[in-house]
Amino acid sequence: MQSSMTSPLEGVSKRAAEAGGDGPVLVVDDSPSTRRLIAGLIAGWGRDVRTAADGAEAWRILEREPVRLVVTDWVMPEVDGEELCRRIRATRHQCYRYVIALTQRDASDDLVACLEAGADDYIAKPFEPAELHARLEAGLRVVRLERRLATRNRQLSAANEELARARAAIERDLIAATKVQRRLLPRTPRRLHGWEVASLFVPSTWISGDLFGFFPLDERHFAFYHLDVAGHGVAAALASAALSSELTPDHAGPEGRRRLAEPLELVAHLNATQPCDDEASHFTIVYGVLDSLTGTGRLVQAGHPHPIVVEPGGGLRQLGRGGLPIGLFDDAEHEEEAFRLAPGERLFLCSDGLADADAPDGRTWGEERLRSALSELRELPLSDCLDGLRERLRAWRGCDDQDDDVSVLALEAPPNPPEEA
Amino acid sequence: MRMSCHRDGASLRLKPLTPRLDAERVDDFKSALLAAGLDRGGSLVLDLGDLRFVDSSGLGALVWAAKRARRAGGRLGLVGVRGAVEQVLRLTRLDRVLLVERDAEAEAGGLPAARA
Repeated sequence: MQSSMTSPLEGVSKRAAEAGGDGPVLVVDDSPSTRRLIAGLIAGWGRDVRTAADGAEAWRILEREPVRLVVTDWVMPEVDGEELCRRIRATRHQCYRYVIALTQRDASDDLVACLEAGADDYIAKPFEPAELHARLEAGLRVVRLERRLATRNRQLSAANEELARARAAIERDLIAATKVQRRLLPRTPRRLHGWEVASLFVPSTWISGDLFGFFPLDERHFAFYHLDVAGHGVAAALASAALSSELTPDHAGPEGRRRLAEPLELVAHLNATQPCDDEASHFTIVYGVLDSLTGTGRLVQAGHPHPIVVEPGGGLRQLGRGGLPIGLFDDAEHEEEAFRLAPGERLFLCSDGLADADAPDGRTWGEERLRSALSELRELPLSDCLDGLRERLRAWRGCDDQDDDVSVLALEAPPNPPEEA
Repeated sequence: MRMSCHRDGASLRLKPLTPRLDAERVDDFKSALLAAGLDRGGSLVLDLGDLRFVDSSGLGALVWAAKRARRAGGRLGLVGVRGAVEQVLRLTRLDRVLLVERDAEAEAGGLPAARA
């Protein structure tokens, strides 16, 4: 007891510095002698002290001064300690106010009342100065802790707001990027050299790495492709955007335009120009050219799912010989496959997101179901067939969300060769 | 990514304990391989017996790992390749580029799936 009395007195100057941050201590007592005694002790410990003779005066001081700790007598005329305490608790203040009640020894009713009114601690009169000092310090520790927490909370909510703003900005950017990306995809359904062309596009996130397209090479031939950049999101979308300009005849010089008519050469060129390093995104592609009059064509399959042909009678076959994805190996070699689409036959180029779609129970849709669906939907017009495919996929998934980007490019040969029509 | 890891003769045998190797998991997968000493030039055997699904990012990670091992003077063999994983490796012809090996231990693990 004795030592705790002396040490604070020795440490007055050090504590005085700290005391500034703690704010003044308010002492409330209707007895002038007790008030002076307590105020004197506290001032002696290096604290700034205010005094009030009753609760009403105390409340006036609390309203204008940043008092964080109140030592108040319980029994006072007019506004007593209990009422003062209730007012303090009922008022939202910028920081917590710690209340130590002074009660009569053996007045256990007072004690219950003061804790119920919201006092944090109490001291029974008469008391030893050392006890007052210890309780005061304990109270100030709580006050400081509360202040640090409040500061941290303010910083956190400021950081949170900043994050929310940044997130909103990113979302706006992504929405804008999604719109730009949609513009890279061709408008469908369309007729190209007498062939029906339709497409389906369901990105897993706002923007995706799937890209497809078709364009006339001359009055009789056209090219088509479907590609899928590994990964999702911004990096994949940027890579696919860069590829889309590579695969646009309007942007290509004479050499580039010639290459667009040669699937094998084009794929070799893409592989040679795509940096094969760890950071770059690789992609899979099916690229083909087609003679619209004869239905004959050539295509290269590089890591992409096999193109599926649906015959008017419902028969199915797949095209392509498989092959390495683009952008993984500098020395990758690919094979070109010749094919022919008979009148009324449909060609589907699908992203792997379709066959890989999982049901809620984890079962994968699979190539088999995909092929059966395409066969079963063959009586519908081409774009309705793709809508139907989307419905089946949604039913399988049990929701609209996709794990992976889903897209399909579909071509349909005219029912009779135009020269016979 | 959780991987089981044990010495098997001169090789270090690693098995990713996940059914999926996809865009969300490749970064984890790569750091797990680096932590296991991919760059130290030894002989690694990657057991894919638990994998049921590999997407194109996952394939990219397998190629990355094989190249990295080769660059360090080591090798990376794949065992336990079957089902959808085997199909996609064949489709992409990566089965000819990556060292896909037969392996008694992985095949023993694969028997229940083969019977199903």
